[in-house]
Amino acid sequence: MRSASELRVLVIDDHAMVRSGVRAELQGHVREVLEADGVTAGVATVKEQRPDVVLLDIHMPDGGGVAVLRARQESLGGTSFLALSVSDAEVDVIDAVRAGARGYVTKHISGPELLDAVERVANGDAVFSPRLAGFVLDAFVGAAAEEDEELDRLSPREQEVMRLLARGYTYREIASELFLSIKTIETHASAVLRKLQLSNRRELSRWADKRHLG
Amino acid sequence: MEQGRAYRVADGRMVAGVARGLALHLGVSVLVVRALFVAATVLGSGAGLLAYLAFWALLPIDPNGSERATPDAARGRWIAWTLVAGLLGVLALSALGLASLNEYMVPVAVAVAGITLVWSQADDEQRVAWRRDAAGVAREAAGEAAAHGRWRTTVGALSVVLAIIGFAIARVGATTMLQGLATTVLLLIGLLLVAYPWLHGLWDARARERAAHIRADERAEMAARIHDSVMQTLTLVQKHADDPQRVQQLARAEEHALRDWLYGEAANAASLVGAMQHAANDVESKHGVNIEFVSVVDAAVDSRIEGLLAAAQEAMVNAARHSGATVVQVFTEAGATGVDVFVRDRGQGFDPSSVPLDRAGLRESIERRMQRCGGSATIRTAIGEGTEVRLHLPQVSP
Repeated sequence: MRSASELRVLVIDDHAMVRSGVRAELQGHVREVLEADGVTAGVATVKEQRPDVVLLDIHMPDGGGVAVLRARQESLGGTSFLALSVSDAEVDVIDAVRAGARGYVTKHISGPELLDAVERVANGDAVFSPRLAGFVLDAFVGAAAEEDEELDRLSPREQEVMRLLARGYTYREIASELFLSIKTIETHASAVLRKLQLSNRRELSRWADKRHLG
Repeated sequence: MEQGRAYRVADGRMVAGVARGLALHLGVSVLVVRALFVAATVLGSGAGLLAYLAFWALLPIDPNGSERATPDAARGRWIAWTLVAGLLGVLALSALGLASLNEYMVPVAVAVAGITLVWSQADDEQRVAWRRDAAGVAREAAGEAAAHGRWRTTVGALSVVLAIIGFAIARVGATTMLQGLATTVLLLIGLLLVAYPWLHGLWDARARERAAHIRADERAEMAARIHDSVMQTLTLVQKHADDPQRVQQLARAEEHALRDWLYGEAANAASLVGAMQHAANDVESKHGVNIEFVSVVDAAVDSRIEGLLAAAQEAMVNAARHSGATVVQVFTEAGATGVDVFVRDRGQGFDPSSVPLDRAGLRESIERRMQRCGGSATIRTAIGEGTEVRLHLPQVSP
């Protein structure tokens, strides 16, 4: 378990204002804050500096955050990505998560919450904003399709966790609500993230299609 | 229409609007002008027709004309029938020996028909282009019209070519004509080859120009939007710089408006999610809190859900006014067991056993509302723990 103060964090965002805002929130709480102002610079910095966590803007010229995630080499296993966006448009979020981000937070997030998310991602856990949890429920539970693949279904427990996340509960609050340990909740969340990334559910490709049409 | 300039009018025309345009210009009845054209054609061995074509080519369409042009399809039929009737009339007259039909007449008639088709198409395209500039007619519709237009232009051009060939055969005989045709084709190919780079460049330039035009349009729309709304808001923000609450409200309202415009999230009031989003936006701008709204599966609004919506709005207002929290989380799910709404804040909470008077009213209004529409409200709260209101509306069996 690595605490925030050991972490090196890279912020990739084309807006200087956002970068300095995030820097102000994190500075002093993490070991180092690095900045990159675009996709190309971001990919290069990830390769050279090997940060622990990358905070990745989804909307940037030259392909956005997804382009960075796609350019990332398998060898960069030590770096975790957390998507950061003002847009709540589901397709953008899903694209980033399916391209390998460990979670998604909006730029409205408060300093302590952001720090918490960074720490969680650095430790290999998933970060679900309420909206992302809502999307997962929509895609996996909402449409009553009979899917055979294990990857295409959420267990009742996973659904319960997602529902509480969508209602705005923290992992800690969910743990006490369900009488489980935080570690168990984290495991469920990571399992859901993996399904979100690997599942071929029709609903997920439908969202992707919508994006390419629009 | 300015004085002293004659136009062709699209409104109420029969062929190209020449007769009507001249009638308007001269201040006489359109019937008189038409009769004159027909008389000149019959008596002057085609002079009227030639004059008509000349006016068609020379007079511009009235750009300020109304858009009530005779529909293209109806007009096309009219032109076709007139031409057929004219041809048959000429054939009949010659068969009866009343007029001598020489070998040139048929090709000339066919050529006139072809030219009429092609020119009338060109007119329509011009009119459509004007209209598009003026009103921004959907581009797909224009594309469809263009496909139809190409068909008409091709048929027209083919009949003109056939007429010329017919004329040439009548004049010089088939063999000479074929030789001449071959020479012409070769010449044309040569010319095309020579002119190709220039034609290609012309085509390219036109395509680029069109693309630039579309981009400029989009930019203009964006600029108008930013000016109307964003600049206005920024000005207001500067004016109220000392009032954080007002600034926040302004920023939030502008954010909603921009989001609606960019992502088309305009709330559909007829759906549960749309109505909830609308209510959340409303509470946000009136009470200066952030509402994080998440929804799973939409439902149509009926009278029962209206009750639920009212209770949910009450719960949101309640959280915004009394909890002290800056963020309120709202979750809606329409599932197999019914509709659930959760309204949650991390504010100060209260002791349910000793409810302060001002909150009792609100609490009752939520609970009573839910009971009236056949649902239930559960409130979970404790001092320092925040508050969560759950509204549940069970599925009614149909």
